Amino acid sequence: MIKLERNEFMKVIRTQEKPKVDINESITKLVNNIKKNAQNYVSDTQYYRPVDESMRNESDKLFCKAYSLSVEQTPDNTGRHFLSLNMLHPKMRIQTSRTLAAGNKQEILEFLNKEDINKLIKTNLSEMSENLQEK
Amino acid sequence: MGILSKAISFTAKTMRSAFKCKPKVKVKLDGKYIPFSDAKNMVDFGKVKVKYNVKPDISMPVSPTTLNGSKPALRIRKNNLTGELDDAVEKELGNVSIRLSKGYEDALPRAKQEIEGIFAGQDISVRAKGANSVYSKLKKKVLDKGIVIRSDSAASKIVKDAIGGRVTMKNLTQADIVDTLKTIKIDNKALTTEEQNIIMKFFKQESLTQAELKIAQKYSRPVKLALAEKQSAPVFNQVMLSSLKHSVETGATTIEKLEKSGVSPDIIKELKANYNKIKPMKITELENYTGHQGIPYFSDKQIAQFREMQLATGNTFDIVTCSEAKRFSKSLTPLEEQAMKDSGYTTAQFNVELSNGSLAEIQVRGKGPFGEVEHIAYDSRRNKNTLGPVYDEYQAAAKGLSADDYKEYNKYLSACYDYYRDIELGIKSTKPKLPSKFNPILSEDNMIRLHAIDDAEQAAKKVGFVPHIDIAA
Repeated sequence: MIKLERNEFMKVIRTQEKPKVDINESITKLVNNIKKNAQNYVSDTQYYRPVDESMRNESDKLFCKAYSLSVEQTPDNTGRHFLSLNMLHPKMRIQTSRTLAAGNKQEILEFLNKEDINKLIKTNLSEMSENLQEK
Repeated sequence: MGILSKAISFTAKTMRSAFKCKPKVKVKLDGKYIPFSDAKNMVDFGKVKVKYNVKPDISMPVSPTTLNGSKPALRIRKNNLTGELDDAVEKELGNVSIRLSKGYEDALPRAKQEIEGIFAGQDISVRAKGANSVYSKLKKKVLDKGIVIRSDSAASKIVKDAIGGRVTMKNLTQADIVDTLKTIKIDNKALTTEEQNIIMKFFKQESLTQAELKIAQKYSRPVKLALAEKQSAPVFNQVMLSSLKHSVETGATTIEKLEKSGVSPDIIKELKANYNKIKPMKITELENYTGHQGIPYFSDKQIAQFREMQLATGNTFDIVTCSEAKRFSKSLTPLEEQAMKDSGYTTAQFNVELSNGSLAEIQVRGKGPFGEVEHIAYDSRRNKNTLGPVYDEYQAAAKGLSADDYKEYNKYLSACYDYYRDIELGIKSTKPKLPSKFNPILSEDNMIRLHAIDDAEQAAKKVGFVPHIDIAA
C-alpha cells in the first residue's frame, strides 16, 4: 500500500492552474493564422471551402466559448469574399457574427494587414460579448 | 432624399414622454374595481399587503404609494447576501414593469401603424409587452447578470421587445414549385425537364425508380432552399428597403454609395423608384435559426445581402444563428463539437428601433403550428415555471426521459419541424410518428392539443377580468 502525506496527496489531486493567455496575443495569433490560410486557399476564380480559424476563449472579459475569423465566398460572386468575426455562446447552442470586410482576395488580405486590425477585432469582440450576454 | 424624416426627429421627445406614464390602475375593494386615485383615500396602502393581479392566474409585487413616481424609489439590485431581491425592491420592480407596460400600450397604436406600413400586404400581428412579461425579464437580468436598475428608461433599454410583431408568411403552392424548378441553377446548371419532373414527383410522394430516387435526393435540398428563399423574398425585400431608407435618411450612406456596394442592384432600383413610399426602420439584431439540416427562413443569399447592407451603411448589427461546429472546430474538444447538434427549431426574427424610439422584435414565421408549441418540450426539461397545470402530465413525462432518450425525442421533434416546413414550401409530406417507446402524451399531436386547451382556458379566464391591485385579507 502506498502511503502519502496529506500535502503530497493534495498535490496529486489539485488541478493545475492554467497559464492565463493575453487576449491581445490570442487575437494576433488568430489574425496570423487566417492570413496564412487565406493566402493559400482563398481564390477569386474558383470555389473553395470557407477558411475558418478559431481561438478558445481564455479571457474572463469575454462572454463566449470561442471566437473565430472566417473568409468565405459570397453566394453569387466567386471573386468576392466576406471576412467575418464569429463568437460562440458559452452554452454552444448559438453563435453571433459580424462582417468586417468584403472584397476580392487582395482586398481581404490588405484588410487583414491593416495596422489597427487587432484593435478593431478586440472592440468588436467586446461588443459582441455584451450582446451575447443578453441571450 | 437626404432630408431627415419628421418621425425620426420626434424620437427623443417621444421617448421622454413615454417614461412619464402614470398608470391608472384599479383596486378591488368589496368586490368592486375602484380607481387607485379614489382608493388611496379609503385605504392606508402603507399598512396593508398588496399584489397586482396582472392576469387571472398571475400576480406580481407592487408598491401603490410609489407607483406613479417617475423612477424607482430605490435602486433595483440583487441582495448579494441572499441572492434574491428584497421585498421592497421587488415591489419597485413591479412598479417599473407596470409603468413601462403602460407606456408600451400607449405607444402600440403608432408602432402598429408603422410596422403594418413597413410590411404592407403581409399577415402581421402586433402586441405590446405586458407587465408580467416585463417583470420576469427584468428580474432575470437583475438576478442572473447583476444589473442595477436606476430608472425606467434604463429598464426599457433592457426590454428589447417592448413591441412584438409577427409576420406570418403564406405557404407556397405547386405553381411556385414549378416556377422554381424552371429557374433554379445548381452548380451553375439549370435542371433538365426530366430532372424537374422527377423532383415534382418526389415532392408529391409519387413512386420513383431507384435511379429517379437518387436524382431526387441529390437535388431536393437545394430546391427546398430555393423555395424557402422564394417564400421569404417579400419580407426580406421589405426589411432591406426599410433599413436602407433609414440609412440614407440619417446620412449614414447615399444612394450613389449604395450603387457601388454589394447590395443587389434590383433592391437599389426599387429603393429609388419607391423611396417616398418606403417606411424607414433600423435593424439592431437579426436572428436566423435552423436545426441540423433544417431549411432556414432567410437563405444564405439573403443573409449575404444583409451583410452587404451592414458594410454599405455602417450599421453593424449582430447576426445570430444556430452554432456551426466548423467555425470553431479547432478550438473545441470532440465531445463539445458533438454537443452542438440541437433541435430543429426554425425561426427568424429581428430586433428593430422604430421611429418613436420603441424597440420591437419582429418574428418571421410560416403557418405551421409547431413553432407555437415547440417551447413546451424545452420549458419542461429546464424546469421553467411558465407552463400551466394542463401540461403537468406532459412535463412529468418529458422530465423523466433519460439523456439518451431525450436526444432521440429531439430527433422526433426535429422531424416534426421538417414536416411542417415541407408543408409551408408546398411539398407533400408525411407526419412523423412518435417512436413506440415513448409515452403517447409526448406526441406532437398531443402538444398541439394541450396548447389549444390551455389557450381556451386562458381566454375564458380573461373574460371580464380587469388587472387590479388586490389587498390581502
